[in-house]
Amino acid sequence: MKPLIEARHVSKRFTRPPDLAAKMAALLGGKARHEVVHALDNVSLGLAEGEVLGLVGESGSGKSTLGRILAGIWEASDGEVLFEGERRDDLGSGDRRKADLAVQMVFQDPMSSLNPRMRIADIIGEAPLFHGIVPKSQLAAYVADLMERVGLDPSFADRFPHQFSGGQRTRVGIARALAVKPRVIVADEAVASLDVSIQAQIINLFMQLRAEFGLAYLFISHDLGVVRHLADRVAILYLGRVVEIAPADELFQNPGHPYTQALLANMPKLETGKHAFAPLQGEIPSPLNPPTGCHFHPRCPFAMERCTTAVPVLQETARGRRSACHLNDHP
Amino acid sequence: MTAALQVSNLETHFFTRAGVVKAVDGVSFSIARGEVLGLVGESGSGKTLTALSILGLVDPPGKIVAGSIRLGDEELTGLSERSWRAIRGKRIAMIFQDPMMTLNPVLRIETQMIEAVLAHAVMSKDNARQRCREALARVGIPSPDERLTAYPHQFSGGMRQRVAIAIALLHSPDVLIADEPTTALDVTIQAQIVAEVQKLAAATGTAILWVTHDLAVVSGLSDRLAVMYAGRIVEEGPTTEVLARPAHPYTQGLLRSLPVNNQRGRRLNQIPGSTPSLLRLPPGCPFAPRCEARQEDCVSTRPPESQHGTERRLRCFHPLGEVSP
Ligand SMILES: Nc1ncnc2c1ncn2[C@@H]1O[C@H](COP(=O)(O)OP(=O)(O)OP(=O)(O)O)[C@@H](O)[C@H]1O
Ligand SMILES: Nc1ncnc2c1ncn2[C@@H]1O[C@H](COP(=O)(O)OP(=O)(O)O)[C@@H](O)[C@H]1O
Ligand code: SF4
Ligand code: SF4
Ligand SMILES: [Mg+2]
Ligand SMILES: [Mg+2]
Repeated sequence: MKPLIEARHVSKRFTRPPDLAAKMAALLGGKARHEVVHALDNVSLGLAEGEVLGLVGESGSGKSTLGRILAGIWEASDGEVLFEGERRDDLGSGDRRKADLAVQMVFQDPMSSLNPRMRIADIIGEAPLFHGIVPKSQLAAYVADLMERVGLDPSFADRFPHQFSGGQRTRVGIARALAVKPRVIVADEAVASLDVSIQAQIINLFMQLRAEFGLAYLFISHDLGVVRHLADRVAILYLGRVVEIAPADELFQNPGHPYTQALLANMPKLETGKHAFAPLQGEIPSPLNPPTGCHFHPRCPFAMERCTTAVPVLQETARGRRSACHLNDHP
Repeated sequence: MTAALQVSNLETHFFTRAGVVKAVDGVSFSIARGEVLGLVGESGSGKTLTALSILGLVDPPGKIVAGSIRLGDEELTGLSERSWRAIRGKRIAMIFQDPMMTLNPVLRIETQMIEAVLAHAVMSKDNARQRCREALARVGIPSPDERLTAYPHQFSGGMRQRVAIAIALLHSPDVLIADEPTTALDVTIQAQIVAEVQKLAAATGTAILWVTHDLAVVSGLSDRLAVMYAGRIVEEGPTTEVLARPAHPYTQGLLRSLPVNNQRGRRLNQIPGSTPSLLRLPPGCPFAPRCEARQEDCVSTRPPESQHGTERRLRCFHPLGEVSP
């Protein structure tokens, strides 16, 4: 299937000025200098119409960065984003705007992404009014309809964000995204900070909206249980690189990449009974100074000589499955 | 045998302008030596305040208004601040979600750890340093000698939490209170820390209260599980049994709403409604407005704590039978 939106060889570098703690250490004789972080390194993946792609990875692996680049909020340092097969940067201003509106984000902490001084009706109604999606005369009805669809009482339209609970604020964030009639939603840890019972309500809402509007989702989460429930396909990131991408049912049944295997083994499960934990050893290395070759080699139980020098290429291992590991060549 | 920690009918209230918030409203439990009790519940249910009450760290307008907290044979409620300081960090230790609550950003790890050792033990500085080195090695920190001279910001979040754990366990406390200590950490680091704490506590016989909202984490770690709702423990019993056969409708609702307990891609079971405001609790069972098993008596009378079978305690008039989640 032709992807609706696609990242091709996308890299993103950040130059990071020394933080406060590093400056303080510098006063005490340490070093403080600008550092370059490779947040994304040559990432290629696509999202088809109506598809849910789960994006999984540990902290700092580049999930949010990729989400923001696909949503057009940030520019890639290298590589390109294609919308309906066309390079987004080559689009004329009208088409570019259409492409940007088609991809909307929903954030983890709606409190920091909602303007605290704006009423809910304005938060939801601002963009569709600005972009001429609804005329002013019909705006109130349009907002009320959206609020109803995401499970908010339309009589709350005059309230401010702080008057809502975390789950309700997530609903406001979803209504705001839906207001510009997107085709793709990038949900960045959208259910992470919610309690189990509220999380179930929001996950159900995401599924219902997908069925109603044929939306595609890039569903970013570190919660493998949630991703397994929602996603058609899953991509696993490690230190800025895609290490495996596969249909969700296959990936969870039969993880191919050693890192995916480790993640699944470490995933907290509702075991019946206390048991000894056998965790994956070692820390996630610093993205400022990632290991050579395969980034995972210092923690990988199968690491070979080659893994320390050569970067494994993401290659097809079965129909619809790709993984980046030297074991693919030496089974 | 006396329990390591025994909490009975604890009530911690906040006296606010809007009214009295009964954050902890009649909580009882005990933990034996070497035992792990998991405490779960949604946000605002009173888990943290239960923990803070046991540590003597409730600040005004909050106050422990009733109940008893016994550490071994000693009653802790009503102790002076001075007596509290002699107990905290020595016989009861704590770790929090944010390790920087225990670590000072501008002091070297060594300085803080030696201070923590000398606060409760008489020994030379060299011996204290040796003890810190051993403590860091025990929680899996490589090259502890170098690490001792570092500042907290030079550590990752997982490493900082390990240091906080090393400090908490310096004096082999009788009781360790852990409030969401792995929530902010990645899955692989979380698994490492849970494994370390499990090993260390088994070695020293430390009793642990592990507070979390993550049922999956606590299921593999705790011997017994307590479920909190609106300031009270509504169900408590052996972890395996509570998870396999929840008797309280709220526990069952929580378990049923987890993605793993639902068919992939299907609509999740959800508990209707949301958590009640503690300022305006209904007169009967606080869960009644959301409960499928609700009957007339639930709305008028608060369910008292009752024994359910030999090992389970419940607050419910109409417990569930032998149904699986
Ligand atoms: N604006 C920025 N300036 C400097 N560095 C950044 C910036 N945004 C992200 N980074 C760095 O890029 C890397 C990837 O960040 P990103 O937030 O995308 O990861 P993530 O996987 O979503 O992490 P988390 O789960 O912690 O949010 C990290 O090392 C991060 O510190
Ligand atoms: N300083 C305070 N003033 C008033 N109410 C408070 C204060 N701290 C906590 N509470 C209330 O006590 C209840 C329990 O809080 P807490 O123990 O922090 O919950 P949890 O840790 O389970 O999220 C909540 O309703 C909370 O709003
Ligand atoms: S390339 Fe080597 S180090 Fe990397 S995952 Fe494969 S076996 Fe392990
Ligand atoms: S007491 Fe009644 S309302 Fe409360 S949980 Fe039990 S059955 Fe439900
Ligand atoms: Mg992120
Ligand atoms: Mg808390």
